Amino acid sequence: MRLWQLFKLELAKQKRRLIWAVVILLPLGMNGMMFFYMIFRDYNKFLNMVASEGIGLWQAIMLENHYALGWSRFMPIVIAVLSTLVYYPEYKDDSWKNLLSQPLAKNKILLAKFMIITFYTGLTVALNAGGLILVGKLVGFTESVNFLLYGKYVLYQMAALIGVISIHNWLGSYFKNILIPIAFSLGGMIISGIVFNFSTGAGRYLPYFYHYFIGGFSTGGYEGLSSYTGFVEGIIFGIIIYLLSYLEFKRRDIS
Amino acid sequence: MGKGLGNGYPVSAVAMSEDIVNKLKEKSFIYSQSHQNDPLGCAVASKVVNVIREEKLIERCEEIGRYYAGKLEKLGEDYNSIKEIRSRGLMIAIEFDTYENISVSMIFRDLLDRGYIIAYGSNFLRLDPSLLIKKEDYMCNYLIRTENLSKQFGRIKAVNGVNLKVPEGGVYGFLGPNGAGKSTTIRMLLGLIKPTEGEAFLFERSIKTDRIKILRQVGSMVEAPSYYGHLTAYENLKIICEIRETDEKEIDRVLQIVDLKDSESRKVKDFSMGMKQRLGIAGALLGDPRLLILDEPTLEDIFLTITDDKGWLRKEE
Repeated sequence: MRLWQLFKLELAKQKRRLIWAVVILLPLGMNGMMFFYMIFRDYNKFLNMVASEGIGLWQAIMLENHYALGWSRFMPIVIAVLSTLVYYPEYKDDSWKNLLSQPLAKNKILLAKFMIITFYTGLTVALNAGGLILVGKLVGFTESVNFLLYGKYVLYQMAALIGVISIHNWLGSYFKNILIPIAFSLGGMIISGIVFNFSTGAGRYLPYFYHYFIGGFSTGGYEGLSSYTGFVEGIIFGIIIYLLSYLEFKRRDIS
Repeated sequence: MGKGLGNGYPVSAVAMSEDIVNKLKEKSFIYSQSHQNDPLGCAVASKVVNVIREEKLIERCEEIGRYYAGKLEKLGEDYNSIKEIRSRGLMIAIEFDTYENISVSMIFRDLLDRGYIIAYGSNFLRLDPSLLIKKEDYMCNYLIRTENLSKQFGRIKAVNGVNLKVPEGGVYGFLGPNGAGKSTTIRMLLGLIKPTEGEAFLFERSIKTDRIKILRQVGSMVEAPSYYGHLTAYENLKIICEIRETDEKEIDRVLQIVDLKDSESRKVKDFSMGMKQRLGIAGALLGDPRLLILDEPTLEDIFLTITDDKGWLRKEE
């Protein structure tokens, strides 16, 4: 069976499931918050801040979304939730053994799961970025939309999140208890934050932190860390973790 | 007497029947057709005739020929292009509808070069199976064969040196008390868990190295039936159908076998345990597998028995 067919099957399994609500409502909620944030704040003060920083309005709202509203803090946890939701049907109805008794290569099963988590993550990130454009339009931004900036924003986020997706694809496949991957994600975020406070340079070794400092890609980096670092290392880390998870999954007994 | 050895086939040594030879012997008549009337050739030919008799080679010829012809006739049921199978002993011919396809003739040419067939024409193939194959080699006797299959979980030896041989065309019951290791063995057969020692073979292939090829021919249900509760019965079976690359029409067939046709649009989470069990069996039957492995298939209110002409399961109240 081809990989894209397996991907389609994974999509079919998520029919009528909560995951769609998470993917659609979460970015919408964040955009809603951003809308009210822009409405109720002192708009002139916002414009002054934009002018003093020498950045555009679209860049400003993107940075507000990423840092002030905490989108960057959210995403690793969102991925943990998405991955547990992707794996949940296999555990809930004990379908693992049925799936693995079918003529399917184990590596394809794991890769299809990875692809579906990446797809949902991409959709969440893209909806959030699209929603920001809508918010900007609604609050009356006069500048023309910087689509290139937002395209890059989505791309950089995805690259930075590949490592976290790989980790949670592994954890999701391993733990029947869905709370463990979520706790792991929370722990990862907290420990990364603490380590980063002690040493900003260590940030490059903390995959849970890549998404945080990647937000500075449009301003040349974050706290001395190049966004390019998060981009490249996110992908490298993702590949390494994925390969490790594949080796473990291939050897794993399904009980 | 006859030709000692010809073209690599000992059977070609037989030039005349034993009666005639005996008559010739009575008259102290020695006849040889070998080159230069070579007495050594005659001695060899005589030995060959003895071997043919002692090892029942003629019977074996007929048996192997019948076996191959039978297999080919079955193949003919699936492929309309095969018109007829003709056989006499080891000489077997397959007659096709005339083909014009150049690639087919290239394949035939290749088969000839490799020695798998002895001749071909515009509408036939001729085979000549080797007489040297033993019966157990040419017949895939065992659907399942295990060699010293063992599994250890920590200190507990769940399965200890199981040697199974399950022949084709039968029903094999696997009995034992709780904790005897039946499910663990079944999981090892399906490649879900790896044996600590030994090896499992299905269709004479190792599950370790040929898992996917094997599982294409195996339908299974391990312990409780697996399903996606939020999907309907039909949607659940469609997923299996797509994985097994089976025609979607199969779904109706298996739903009818397990008596769930009327419930195909209901979500599986609303099914009773018995219905879920039957759905699990329907999933196992999809794609007409050669081997069906059912672990605890008779829980709850259903009792299963082999009844229909294909040997499939049918529900009995």
